[in-house]
Amino acid sequence: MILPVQFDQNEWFLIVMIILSYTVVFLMPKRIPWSQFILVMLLSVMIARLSDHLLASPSVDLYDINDTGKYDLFDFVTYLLYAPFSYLFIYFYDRFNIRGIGIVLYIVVCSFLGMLFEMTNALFEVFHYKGWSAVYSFSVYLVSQSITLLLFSYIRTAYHTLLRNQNKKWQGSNL
Amino acid sequence: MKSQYVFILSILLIMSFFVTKKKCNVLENIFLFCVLEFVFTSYFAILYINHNFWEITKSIEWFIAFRIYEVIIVPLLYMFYYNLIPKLQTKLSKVVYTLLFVGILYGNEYILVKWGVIVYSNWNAWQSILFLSIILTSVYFLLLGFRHILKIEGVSQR
Repeated sequence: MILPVQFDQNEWFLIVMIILSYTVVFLMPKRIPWSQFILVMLLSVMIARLSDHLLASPSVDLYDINDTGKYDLFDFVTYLLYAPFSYLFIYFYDRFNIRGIGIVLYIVVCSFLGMLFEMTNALFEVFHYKGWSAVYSFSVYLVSQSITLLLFSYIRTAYHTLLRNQNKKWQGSNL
Repeated sequence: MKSQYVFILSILLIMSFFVTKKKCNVLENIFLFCVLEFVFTSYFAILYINHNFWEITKSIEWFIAFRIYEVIIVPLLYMFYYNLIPKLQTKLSKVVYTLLFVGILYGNEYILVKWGVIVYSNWNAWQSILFLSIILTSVYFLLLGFRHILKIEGVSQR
């Protein structure tokens, strides 16, 4: 993988944010099982990677990430930064038991915060916009956060169904 | 016209994936999908963006077909592999199936090379086969790790 051209503000910003966000996540009380935790984190990393691959790679090339238009080491680090934010998004959704129209408001507020955080990233030169703008990201966040919530609900239901089936099997074998 | 084969293949693969009986549970399949998407978009980016080992055609129609190949066809084929391998009983059948699977994977790439969608530069078929096999093995070990967590939580028996 390609190394950064210059180790400057964008790399330091990413390192500091990674340390801060993961510290917050691991210090918070655990609300969901490890398997769901891994899936929620992976999901956000996958969505970010996929959208960057489709929107920022050559022939579309709407923005660059970090120092080059190529896939460098700190692009990989950037993806790691999405995971704790995705967990926090799910954590507060679950913690405050958000339901009904509250879900729409929650997604709108989080998308707005996401957009502000992306603008901060752009300020530290993590993103270099060409034909893109942080405002466009707002609609992307609306879609990606809705997908994340939908899939989290699906994952949680599937998890409990599998758990119930295993318990039934276990009880059946003990009879 | 030929690009239609890629679109049709991807639709057929998606349909087949949802209707076939799977050996991995739904959580394992979501895990596999996320990991494979991340790994393959990174792998292809390194090949044709970072090092120019591959040159992808400039034709819009074929470029979309290539995108479908890297984002849908390849990850789905891998998911078929991981869902089918536990059904095989003997070690020999597993080895034969794995070899056949790597052959199918490379076969897809070979067709795209023959059609001029992918042009190799300082790259050979054996390198593709090697990397496809390395990814196959590495993702399998990641799946085993995730399965272990599910087992500890009492969600999976294996």
